[in-house]
Amino acid sequence: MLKGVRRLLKDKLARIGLVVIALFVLSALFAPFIAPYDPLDQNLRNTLSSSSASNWLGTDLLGRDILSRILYGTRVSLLTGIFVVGTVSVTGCTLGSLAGYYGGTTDRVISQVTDVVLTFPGLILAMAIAGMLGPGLFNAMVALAMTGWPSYCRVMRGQVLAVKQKDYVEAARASGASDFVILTRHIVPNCFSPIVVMATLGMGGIILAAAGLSFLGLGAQPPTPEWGSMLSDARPFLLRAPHLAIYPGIAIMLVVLSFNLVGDGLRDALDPRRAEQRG
Amino acid sequence: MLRKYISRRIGAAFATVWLATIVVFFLLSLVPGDPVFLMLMEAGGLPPTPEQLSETRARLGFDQPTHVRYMIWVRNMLRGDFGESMQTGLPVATMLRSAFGATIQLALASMVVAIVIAFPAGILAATKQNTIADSAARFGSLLGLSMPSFWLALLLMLLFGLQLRWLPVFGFGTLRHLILPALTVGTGMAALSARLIRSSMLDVLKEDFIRTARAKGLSERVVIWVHALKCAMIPVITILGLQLGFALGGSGIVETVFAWPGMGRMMVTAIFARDFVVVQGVTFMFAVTITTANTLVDILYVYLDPRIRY
Repeated sequence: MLKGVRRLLKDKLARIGLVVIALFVLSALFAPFIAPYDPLDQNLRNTLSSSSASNWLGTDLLGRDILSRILYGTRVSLLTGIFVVGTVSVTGCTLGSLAGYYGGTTDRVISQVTDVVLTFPGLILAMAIAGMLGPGLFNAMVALAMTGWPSYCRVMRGQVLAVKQKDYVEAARASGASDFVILTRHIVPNCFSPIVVMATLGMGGIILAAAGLSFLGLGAQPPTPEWGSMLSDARPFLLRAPHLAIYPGIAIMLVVLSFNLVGDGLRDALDPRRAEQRG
Repeated sequence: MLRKYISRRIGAAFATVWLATIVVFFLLSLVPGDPVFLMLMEAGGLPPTPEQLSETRARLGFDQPTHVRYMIWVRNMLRGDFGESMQTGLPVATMLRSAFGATIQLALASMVVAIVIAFPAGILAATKQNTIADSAARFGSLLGLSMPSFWLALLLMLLFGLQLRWLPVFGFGTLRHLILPALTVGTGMAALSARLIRSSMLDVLKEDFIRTARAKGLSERVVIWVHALKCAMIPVITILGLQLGFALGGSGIVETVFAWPGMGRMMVTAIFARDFVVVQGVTFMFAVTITTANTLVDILYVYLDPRIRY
């Protein structure tokens, strides 16, 4: 694992990704100190203005400062990502380990449910659940959590099936260890590499999906500063105030790209055979 | 053997779709609040009277317990009847038919865009491995995957629709209306596919028969575009399934932005109108489309790859 981290730091693109993520985390933590204005403060005498000395990225329809709203929006996006990825990876890994370790009926039931949830493409099921629970950030997070776990479950199941055959697992069983101990001490810790990669790429995916739900009006509600809903607000003023549609999108793309660069780098770092192929 | 595999695969597809209907039906019935009340509230803007409530409830069958409603829904669905929209009164089956056509049209056009971008990019990256071209392709595809579709849509509208005035910003009907939505979906798809094409091509280029072809004195162009590509195409078939999934998954957002009358927009509209009957019908249709595509891809795979035997 430590070797993996060292290899990751050698990857130039992944290094850039890590730095950008760190910057976003800092701006989420210290938004009140960095942001020039309160993200909810309206100034109706200065609406839809483009970049100026007082408002670097301009203002929106209600005269709110775009830069401040983007900085505060970091909080919503990162917290959503952490909450959803945390929930789905724990749920997915637990179900996947159970399916892989016990096999038989347990495996059949869990795998069948996984297949069914995967029958719905991308955001579709999450949209239905979020919409029917009622628009709102928390409901959107619940919807993404309910639909995001199957891929983790599948990968974890495959990992456990492979590791289960190893000699040291046999040795543990022969020495009289219980199923619980074998699973949590000997199998699961050796299955984590691909899960770490998935979760990193998953942060980007979930941030993108959550922004999409908010863009549709199914996620964060006004006046919460959120990147997706800021872009949605920009739609009527595309020609008059294009800056509204540009900056929040750059923020989403940068953060998602950074997680993807790090995830991609991690995959190579944790799987040296692949890295060799890529050089 | 092959026939047995195929029939088993088709049977599994039916089972999955059937389970999917149960999942959707019961998830939607777990929604807090009275769905009929919410629908009427959304449609009329006023709280409905008790008479309206009980009348609508009886008409839509909501006075029955969930499992009975499910049985009725399945029985009607097998006859091609998906109920009527709360909002418009139109049969959901009719709405689905035209929306399905629009969504598939957009998906196919996006696939064309994706293939035109992804094949040259993926093959270039594989043949020029570890050069600047390869890094550029890798970075470009990650960039494409990281770009929110709704943002790309707004940028394309701004540039080609409003600034240059070349193309209509939204709507449906002509080829010109199709271009911007297809570019939006196709870009993300291309990013997804280029990576797979590259790695599949890299695997093939290491095989013995490629060395043989080169040793025979064939030109590099023939080796890559004829011999290697033919073999690299096999895993790439999976991409077609993935691409369709990508197009359908993003359809809610892209179709809403471009006012494209497909299944995604139908679903978003129905969600906001709390039109349960329509939401149920559309999610079912999405599940059927994806399952059919995946099953076809699996079967195609067996035919194309002589190494796979069941």
